[in-house]
Amino acid sequence: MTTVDFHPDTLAADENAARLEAANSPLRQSIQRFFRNRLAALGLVFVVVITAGALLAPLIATTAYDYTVLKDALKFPPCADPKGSLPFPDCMFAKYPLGTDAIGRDFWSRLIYGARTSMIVGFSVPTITLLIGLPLGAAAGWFGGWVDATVLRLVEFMTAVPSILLALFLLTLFGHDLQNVILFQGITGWVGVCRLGRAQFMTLRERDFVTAARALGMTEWSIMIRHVMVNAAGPIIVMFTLGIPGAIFGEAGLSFLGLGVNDPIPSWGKMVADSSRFASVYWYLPMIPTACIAVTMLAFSFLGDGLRDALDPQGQR
Amino acid sequence: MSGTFTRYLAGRVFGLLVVILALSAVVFFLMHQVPGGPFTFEKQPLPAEQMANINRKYGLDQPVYVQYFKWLWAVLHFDFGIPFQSPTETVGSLVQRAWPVTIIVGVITITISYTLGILFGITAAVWQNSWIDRTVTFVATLGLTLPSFIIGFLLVYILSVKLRWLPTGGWGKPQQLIMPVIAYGLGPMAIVARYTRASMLEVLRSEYVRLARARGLPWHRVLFRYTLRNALVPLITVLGPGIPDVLTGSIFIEGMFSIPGLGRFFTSSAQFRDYPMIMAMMLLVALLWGATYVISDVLYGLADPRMRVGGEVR
Repeated sequence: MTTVDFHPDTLAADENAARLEAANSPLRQSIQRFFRNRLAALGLVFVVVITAGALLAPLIATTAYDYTVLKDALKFPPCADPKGSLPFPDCMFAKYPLGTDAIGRDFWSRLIYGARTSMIVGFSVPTITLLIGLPLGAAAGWFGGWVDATVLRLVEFMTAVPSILLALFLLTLFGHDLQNVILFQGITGWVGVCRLGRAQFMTLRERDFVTAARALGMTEWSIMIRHVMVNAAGPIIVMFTLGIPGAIFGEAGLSFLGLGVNDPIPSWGKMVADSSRFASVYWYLPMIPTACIAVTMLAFSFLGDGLRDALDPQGQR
Repeated sequence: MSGTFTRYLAGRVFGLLVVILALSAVVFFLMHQVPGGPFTFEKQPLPAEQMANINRKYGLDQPVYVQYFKWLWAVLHFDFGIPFQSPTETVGSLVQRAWPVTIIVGVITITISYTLGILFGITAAVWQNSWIDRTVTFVATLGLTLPSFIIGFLLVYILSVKLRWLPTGGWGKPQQLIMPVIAYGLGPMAIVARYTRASMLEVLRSEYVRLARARGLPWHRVLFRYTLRNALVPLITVLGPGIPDVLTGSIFIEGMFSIPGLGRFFTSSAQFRDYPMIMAMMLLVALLWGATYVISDVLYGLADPRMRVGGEVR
């Protein structure tokens, strides 16, 4: 007496289960986990604002960032000017919303274009490190043997001197501009991504689904890309995100030392260095870019930390 | 056991020397490949004969590989040459003059930041989720993300410019050390506090701690005898790399607070194309970093018996 269980209720239950599963797909769970972390969500908001500001710089900036009017040098922001003539709401739309710097350039516009510089560096440097480090690390972890040994020697070579010093050395030798700041930070900074890629590919290589895919006749290449890459994506995305504040810090620091981007391109680090001489009176000149660097770095760090917790729930701090 | 250990150590030291040799060759050839030289002045170029004389004096007229091997030979005899930016002394005496300053700042920074970091980490872990924990985590995040030159700038602005409590920079008085040490040490302190906290929490949750508690051992004894020892061992890998970083000096900190240490020579040497000084700095940095890696791996093996599997350390 066996009854084939095709009762309509069971079907409905199955459907419900499927719907539940869709509602709780890993991606959705990750997104939920991400937004439960308030700092990470706040970081994301700031990152979106800063990125939008950088992209829309020509629209937001009031004048050209490199336009110098010497007679207007070191003007106070109209709203904070003790001798200001404009009442409150009007002063916000004055010619120089945040005043001018030491050689009479609009501070607000330089700040906005400085965000652009930071964002360009922030996204390009991790991209370069990814392009160099990931293939090397993946090859080392996947193939092992002499490939692994060679890559490990290379990594050891690169870690003998801290990457920021190496970048500094290359920049002083080959000359410094925005392009070289990006290039040399990328060339010297790929070790972390390489290590991560190596570890990921090494552990994933041994997993059953890889053996299964191989048994089913998939080629090594498609296994690497379709199965292993997809599974390694989480930590790599996290590393990319956490690389952004590092790159921004690197550029700001190098520019602060006068070894980063060149005039007239604005950079927050350079703006701090250039205006710190006037700090006793024009305190906001170095302080605003300082705050910008700090907020940007914190935002990207929170975003990265949040992504790590969301994408890799078992991961340890 | 000791045989494998000696072989392991010898292998590591040999590997380190190979890396440094390779690095020195790359740096040497790279800096000679870049157009221009230490005595090429754009504003007032030297006459050709003088240029030839100077080049002959410093051996710059020879092929690069000859120069490299000559340099290598001299270095093996502890002769590091004469710094072009300060030709009245040797590289050795310049380093002897500037490095102690950096070391003083570095040792004070490391001592204070590591001690505080470990203490804060332990406190935060023991009272997890309390206000202490939240404060420590918050400060650690700030210290980890804010660049040292930003912290330094804020300190100068608040403590020197506004409150006029401390001199903006300089060297020789104890109070001139306060701001550099804070600006420099906040980062390492944050890292150490964060790792100590995580490591402590892991051990506190372990079964043997629960057992010790269940057997009725007093809490302080569980904490100091059983937890701390095991929690602090993984820290070796975190504490180690901070040390060479601080001992070679920070360009930012030393520049910002006008400390006459080694840090500024990282930029000035490359700017002046001061070949002997560049090579000396490179050797110093690479040796310090390499030695730290080897020492921290060995210490780790000594402190944690689980890491000692025959010759398969790590």
